[in-house]
Amino acid sequence: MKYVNFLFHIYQPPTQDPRVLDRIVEECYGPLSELFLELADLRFTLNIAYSLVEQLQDRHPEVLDRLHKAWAAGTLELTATAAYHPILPLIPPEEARRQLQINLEGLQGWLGAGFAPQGVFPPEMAIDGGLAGLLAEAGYRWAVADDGILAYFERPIPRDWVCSFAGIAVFLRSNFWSNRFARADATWVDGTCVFRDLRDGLAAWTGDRDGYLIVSVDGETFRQHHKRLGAPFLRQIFAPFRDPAHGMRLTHIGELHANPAFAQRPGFIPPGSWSFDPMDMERGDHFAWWKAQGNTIQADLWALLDLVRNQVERTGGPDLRGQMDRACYSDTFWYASVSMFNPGQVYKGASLMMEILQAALALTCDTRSLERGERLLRSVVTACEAARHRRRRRG
Amino acid sequence: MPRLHIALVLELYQPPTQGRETLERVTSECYAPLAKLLAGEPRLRITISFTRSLIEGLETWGLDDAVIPAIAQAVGQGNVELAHSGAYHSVFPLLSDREVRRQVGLDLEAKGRLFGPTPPRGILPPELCYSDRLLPLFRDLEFHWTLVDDKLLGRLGIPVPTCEVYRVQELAILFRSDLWSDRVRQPREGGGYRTGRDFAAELVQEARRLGQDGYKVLMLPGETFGHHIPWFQETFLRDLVYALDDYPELCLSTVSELLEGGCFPETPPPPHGPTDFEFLPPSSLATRVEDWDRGDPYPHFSSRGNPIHKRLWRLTKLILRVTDRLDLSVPKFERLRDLLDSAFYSGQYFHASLWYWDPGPVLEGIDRQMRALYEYARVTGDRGALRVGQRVYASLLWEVEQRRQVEPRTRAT
Repeated sequence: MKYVNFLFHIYQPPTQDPRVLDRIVEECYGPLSELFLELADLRFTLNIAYSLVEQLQDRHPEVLDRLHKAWAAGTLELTATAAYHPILPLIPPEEARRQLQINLEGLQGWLGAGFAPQGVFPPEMAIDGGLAGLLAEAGYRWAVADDGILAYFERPIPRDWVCSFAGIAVFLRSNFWSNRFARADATWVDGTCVFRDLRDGLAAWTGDRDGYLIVSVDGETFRQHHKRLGAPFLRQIFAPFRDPAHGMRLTHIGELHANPAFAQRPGFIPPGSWSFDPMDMERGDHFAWWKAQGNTIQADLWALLDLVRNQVERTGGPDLRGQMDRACYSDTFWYASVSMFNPGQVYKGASLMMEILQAALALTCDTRSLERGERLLRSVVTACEAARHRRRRRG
Repeated sequence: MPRLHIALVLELYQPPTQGRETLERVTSECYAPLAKLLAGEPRLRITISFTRSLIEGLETWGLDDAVIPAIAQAVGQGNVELAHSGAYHSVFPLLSDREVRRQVGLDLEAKGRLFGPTPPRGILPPELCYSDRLLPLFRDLEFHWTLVDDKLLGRLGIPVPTCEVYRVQELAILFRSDLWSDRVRQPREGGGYRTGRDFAAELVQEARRLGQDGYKVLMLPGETFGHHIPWFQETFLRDLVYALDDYPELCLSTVSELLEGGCFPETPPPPHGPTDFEFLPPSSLATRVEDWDRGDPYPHFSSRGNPIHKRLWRLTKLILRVTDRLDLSVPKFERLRDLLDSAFYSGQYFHASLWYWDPGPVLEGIDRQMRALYEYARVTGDRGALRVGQRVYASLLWEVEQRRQVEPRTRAT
């Protein structure tokens, strides 16, 4: 039997414009949540960050209702994650634990106390040994990571076994297959092509043995990023899985974890994420999209975040602490990367940090820290503006 | 014998962002010895503007004991008149009436705390930034006189009064003599600075030329005496006092003394040709005729075509506009009120000018303003204004950076 897991990741930053959210709901989250109800006999995994749950609770509770039903019916498996989508290996361990806990409590508030996920989807699938150990200590049984890093390090990619790393089972997402979805592979004229490719590809990869494949992409890929990848396209992919003659089954990751056919074997997972570039890895830049060597904007943003956290801890106020949790979201750093450079998005995150710092300083009166924060923000904005104008001049 | 009354006005000021090291140096070089001189030399009759911003700096860094008791002694003796100003040295004509009143009120409060009740007599708008709009406001605040720089009067055909005093809307307007004020600190031909005696000798010529009782008001930064020019409080001020023994045609007065006893008749300013102003042209200490001709009455603070000035004022006006709607006496706005008070000091605009470009103080000023805006957004929840301010902030930093790359700092500063 060939097992295929579709792991959808849906997330919006805490600073998202509500009008943008409305559009994404209309184009993507709405149809996707309806599809999960429609395909109730199949199995899917969904990672939804509390950051998005909060926003949907305010504006689109009907989406959450449908997801809740699909989860209760056993169609959807829901994972744990970090509430506000920070890059967990890049924040202090206590912050990582806190983000996982906020997410858990937030989702329990929505789904009920019975929600007790066994597996974790680290934001951006960013993982390292420290985080894997932390997840194991926290009692999680499995986590997901990207197999591209393994391929880069020329390590075997599990197909009929499961990698056990630092005390936790790590399931590897297929970078190859997932990115064909993310890029809307032009050879896939419809969903039936996808199913056929998957069937043939898995047969070639695993032969006669049992095997599994994990395809994981942003949920927004479907219809929001690529118009043609809407619900009809997905139906065409998933419908053939109902036919046992194909020897293919859609599954939850938890089922893979419990399947005795897939034994656990110790194996090293190099630090990395699902967004990696071999050039970065050559430089030892394992998380370059968020913290690249030589990227002074990112360096200043991280310094500012540390400063803000330090001040918030001194105040001990729950409101500021809550804002601080939101300010850790990854987009601020992502949009400061060379490839994704977007000063407006950087400013959103940096301004949130500064707002928190200003509010904290109203309590601590630590003017020196405020001045340091102001210098860091100036440095971020000046560098972003310089880069923006440079790019504009180059056209 | 006709006499020429000399009213010396010194403005003592430091921005609210001034650091300890600088303030210690200026205090030891200037404020402390000057205060001691004023207390120990009752013949030195003088008017000083001792701004709240400086007072707080001295108190913050523990330097007040070296200055304030001596000034208090001189005020008590009567040889020093305290004039009032804006607490944090903001550009009055470009602020709202409410903020001007607030700045003056804070200044009065600080002086009252340190020197006892100081009834409002004279008001020196920071940098002598003047507009006709301020006159009813000053009068409403019960001031009797104000000071305006005289540079533009000749260009507009308005005579500079020397034997009478202009009075507008029950407020006496005196004029700072740009010529004589600048002459105090200009090096002489052949080098070296004038001594007090040199200056008295030049003034007495002017007194004799005038041939009747007259007056001149000279205004300088207090820091000229000891900080800008070492030992100048001795070589100029103290020497001047001694020189006057030999020049009975000259006498030192406070500004208010010029107005006492009807020494000088009061008249309205003469009518002038068609212009945009009613009584006197908008101006500042630094406004030159060519600035006026270009339509730039406040060139150091809000110069046409200066992109940093333009954006700085966009930020200032935004903050003033959104906070103007609030009753800032409500306790929850206390911190916002404090931040607003010291957010708009003149130095940030001054150092963005063509002549005194220095990005450091400009950036400090931007940060001060943003602190007020963040606090406003925090207490009111108005995130729209904060977003607008953040956009202005980004464009400001970019303008500052562009200029910094071309010109790290003006040499003169």
